[in-house]
Amino acid sequence: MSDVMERSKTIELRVLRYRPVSDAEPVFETFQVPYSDDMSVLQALQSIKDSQDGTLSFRWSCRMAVCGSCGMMINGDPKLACETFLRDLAPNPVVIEPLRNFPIERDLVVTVGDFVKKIESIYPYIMPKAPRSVEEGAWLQTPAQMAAYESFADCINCMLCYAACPQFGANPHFIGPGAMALLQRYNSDSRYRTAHTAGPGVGRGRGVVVHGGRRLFRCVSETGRSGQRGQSEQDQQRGRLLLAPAAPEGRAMSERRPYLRAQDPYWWARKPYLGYTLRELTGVAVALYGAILLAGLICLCRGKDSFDAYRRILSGDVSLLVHLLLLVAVVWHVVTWFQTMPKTMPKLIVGGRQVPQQRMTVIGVALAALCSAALLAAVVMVGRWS
Amino acid sequence: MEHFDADILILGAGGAGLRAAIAAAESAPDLTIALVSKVYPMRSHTVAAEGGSAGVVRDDDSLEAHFHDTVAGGDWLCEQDVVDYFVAHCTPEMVQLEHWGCPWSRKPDGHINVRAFGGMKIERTWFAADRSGFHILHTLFQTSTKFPSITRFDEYFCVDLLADDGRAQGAVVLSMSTGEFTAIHARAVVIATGGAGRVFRQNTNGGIVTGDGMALAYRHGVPLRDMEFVQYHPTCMPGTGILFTEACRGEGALLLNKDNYRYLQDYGLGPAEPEPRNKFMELGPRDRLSQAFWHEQQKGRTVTTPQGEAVWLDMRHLGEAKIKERLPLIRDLAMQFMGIDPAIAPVPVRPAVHYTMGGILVDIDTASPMPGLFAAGECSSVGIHGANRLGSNSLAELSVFGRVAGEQAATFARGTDASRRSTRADEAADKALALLHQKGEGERHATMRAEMAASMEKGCGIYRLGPEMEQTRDTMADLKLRHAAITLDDKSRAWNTDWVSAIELGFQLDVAEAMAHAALARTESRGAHQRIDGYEQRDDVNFLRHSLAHYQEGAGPAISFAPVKITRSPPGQRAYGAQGEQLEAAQKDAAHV
Amino acid sequence: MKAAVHQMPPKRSLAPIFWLLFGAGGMISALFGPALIVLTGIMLPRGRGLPERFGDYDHVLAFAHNPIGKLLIFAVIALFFWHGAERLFLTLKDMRAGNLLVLRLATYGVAGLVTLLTLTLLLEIGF
Repeated sequence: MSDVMERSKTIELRVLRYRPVSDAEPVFETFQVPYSDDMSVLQALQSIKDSQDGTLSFRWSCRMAVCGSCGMMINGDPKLACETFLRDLAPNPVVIEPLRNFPIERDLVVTVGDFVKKIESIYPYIMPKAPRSVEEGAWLQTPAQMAAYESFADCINCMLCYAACPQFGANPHFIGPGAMALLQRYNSDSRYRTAHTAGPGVGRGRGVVVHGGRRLFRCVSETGRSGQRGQSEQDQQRGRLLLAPAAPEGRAMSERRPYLRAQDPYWWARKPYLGYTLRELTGVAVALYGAILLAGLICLCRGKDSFDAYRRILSGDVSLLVHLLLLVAVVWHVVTWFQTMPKTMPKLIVGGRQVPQQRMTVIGVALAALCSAALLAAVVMVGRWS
Repeated sequence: MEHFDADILILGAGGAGLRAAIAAAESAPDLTIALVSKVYPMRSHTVAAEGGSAGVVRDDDSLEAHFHDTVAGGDWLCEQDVVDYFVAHCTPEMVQLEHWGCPWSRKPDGHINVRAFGGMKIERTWFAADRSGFHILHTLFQTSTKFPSITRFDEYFCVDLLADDGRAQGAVVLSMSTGEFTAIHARAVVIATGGAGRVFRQNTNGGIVTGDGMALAYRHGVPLRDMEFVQYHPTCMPGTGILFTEACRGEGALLLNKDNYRYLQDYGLGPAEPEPRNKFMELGPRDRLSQAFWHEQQKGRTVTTPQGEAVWLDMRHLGEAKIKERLPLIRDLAMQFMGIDPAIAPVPVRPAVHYTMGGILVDIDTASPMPGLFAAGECSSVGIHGANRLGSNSLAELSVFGRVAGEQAATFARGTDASRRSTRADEAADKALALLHQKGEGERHATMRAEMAASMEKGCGIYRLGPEMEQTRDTMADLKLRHAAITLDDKSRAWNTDWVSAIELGFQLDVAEAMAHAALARTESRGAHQRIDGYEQRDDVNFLRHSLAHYQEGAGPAISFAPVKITRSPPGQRAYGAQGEQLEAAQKDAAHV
Repeated sequence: MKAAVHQMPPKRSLAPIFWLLFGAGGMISALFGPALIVLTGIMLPRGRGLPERFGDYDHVLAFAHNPIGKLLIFAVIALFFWHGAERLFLTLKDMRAGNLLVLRLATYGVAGLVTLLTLTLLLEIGF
């Protein structure tokens, strides 16, 4: 056909397979796939299924990143296969695995039912402030009011955020970013009555840290409570087949045997989470500085000699080095603090439009620079006057 | 096999199916509703609809105008009483969606905004950015979770209807995750399984749009109406067929050939004006625009891209801000899939199959000739689209007739005894299992699917020729025989998509065959069915009739014809652009005389 | 299949209190942290930009006698510790470094002790 690009190159796809009938655990299989520059990973998988191995199972439908079916791990990142293109991955082999943190049903198909139950559990529908009949017409809602929830309503339920979320990975009972985004969507809708309560799995909805739904985020609120069930209990379920419940008497067991892969215990040290871990450790630097001040306070209490000894140490080179390192860490804290802050707040709507998160970061960092400069200037001026 | 008893069974959980479920649950909270879908509801293809949903709101608009645009757009093959009902109920349904949370785009004062759409005289298309179907579907799905009487069967694939004694009794469904069967027994069945665009090679449709419900009803004796009418949407991505919404043109996008000429003016849609004008140029109806492309291609005036011939969809003059606000999805698609920023460069587009006007024969109450069987949405032919659908009438149809189907099914279920359990469930399961274990000649169904799609594109394309349609008809018959001899790679039960795709192919071949036979039988040109083999004209004398395809075991369908219900709009000239305006003016003058 | 809908009312949690402490410490350290480090760690000890005597025993004691001074010292030390405690706790939990109770004591517990200690010392210094 003159209107199909010739598939003149070949790329290697390493796909994690799992067939409950025959596999004790998931295993990689390699395929060589002829491709053209306009092909997506989804099309490559379809090519395998159509002409090489019809047993490869994966979900897909719309091909245009709106139905949310084709989420999978591509080279370790959660992506939609239909909008990930081979031209951006070639010539290296492409590693394809089912979405992380979910049990595998078969090949690239993961268990989705629990996620849908979580969506349902937050009562995801309008409970209006006052009754209104259809005859009375539509509610009024200005573009500014819509901007408050609009992007949360754009969630395609693709679950990439769950695959990205190590807290969900550590505790499958965590209701997760997608459900929280939906909660926020309804909470922020002006047609909705006062604050929405939801089931105990959520904790307080303090704002959802979801950026584009596909990047790593850190939920400021309740992820710390995800240890509800205790780590050891969850560990027991790792890396083992989750046995389907025993069949009622008289009925044969189905073939279904979902497999849950263990969470990598060193996920926090790997890309892209290492940056997040280092960011969190800047908080420790903040506390270390506090410890230095505390030491000074203790010495102050002890008396002049003790405090003078403290001052001598502080004027030394080691102290200078330590303070410089702490300064670097705390400056990094400033930047990341204002990067994260807009993600944890309800949207800021000014003049009918949502203030972009990046702008809020710039403003925050500028404000911090101003505050620190002002403090320094004030102290220096007091020093000059006296 | 498991058995489940329900009062109402709804097959398909897209816009129409969900709306039916909600309507049934609201009108009859005591009845149990089984809602079956082969994908999770939010994956249904309603999600990909972009442009918007029609509903008269403006003061200078009227139901009469919407009626006339629809009937003329359908080239007078519409059931006019049904169109009357439809246009009267569009706006209340859109308001209902809004009450349920649908984020319709607004004017600065907070009122609903409406945009221009192809073939519509006045702006009446409600829209939610350019993801209207997405928002409608998610609103309906999330709202449906309110009703405890709805039991969902997510990722259950329907392999057959249960229709003992010629009455709808339920269905046999296959769990994707286990590969086990369940028989759902019901007193009323609603089919809302969507269209069949995937039988064509280049199409805007998702992989799931395989005409399942159409084929099932058809095989059980329900006629498929007007199957020859298949809509080619004029502006789709070359190669993938992914849709670029008509709303682009509603916002002012232009269609240019390789000489940067607005070629539509050569095809009775002009004159070309700098601002978009309803029913002129780029805002003409879809069939006319797709046909213009075909002519341009014949003349060698199309642009050659690596994915084939195309024309330019130019949105540069709209500016980045407007594109980001009104057409964000379009922008993302162009940039991610094609590396083109529509604010900077024109986007290559071409027609691709988008919508199936025809479908399961139903009346104004969405009831099919089979007692207890109802159908709504793209899988049905309720009579509003005729020979060509106007954009934004389909999303509206989902709500208007989804609701009717739900309420009617509930009423029917109440008036029927609890169904005697059908005894045919095992037969249906066995038939599906037979395909699974079939030791055929080793042919793969993937090759057959490609052959079917290529043949349909050739024979039932934008312009049709008798010999090519005959070829396609014969190819479908041949493929059906070969389908009985395929071998599956995958013999397992859990998540065997090889098996499910093979069953879907069976459905598709039946539907495609009906399309080819119906196309051959209609020896005239009307709406989306255009012939260039001596039958170029519309023939109201012989063909102001619907085609009906009747399934015949082991042979192609028998085609019969049924009259069209004309109430107050006699077939007229279907004109757009300046010609259309003149015509309208003349009609107004005639009315005043 | 039918969805299970949670019917229980949500339990009130203590976490918001800790989060507020974390947040306050984070904001203050973000806005003033760099300046404080430069002041107390670089400028004062070396008498750069400031008279050296500002950092001597008498001046600092006078500052600590002052009620506002006490408040500032208390706020900075305590909140910086609460901020670090929450972040360290969650990071150690991510690393599965140990039993959660132990981790909580090692982080929040320490912050709590530091808060008490700071309060005690400031009161001991007197007015």
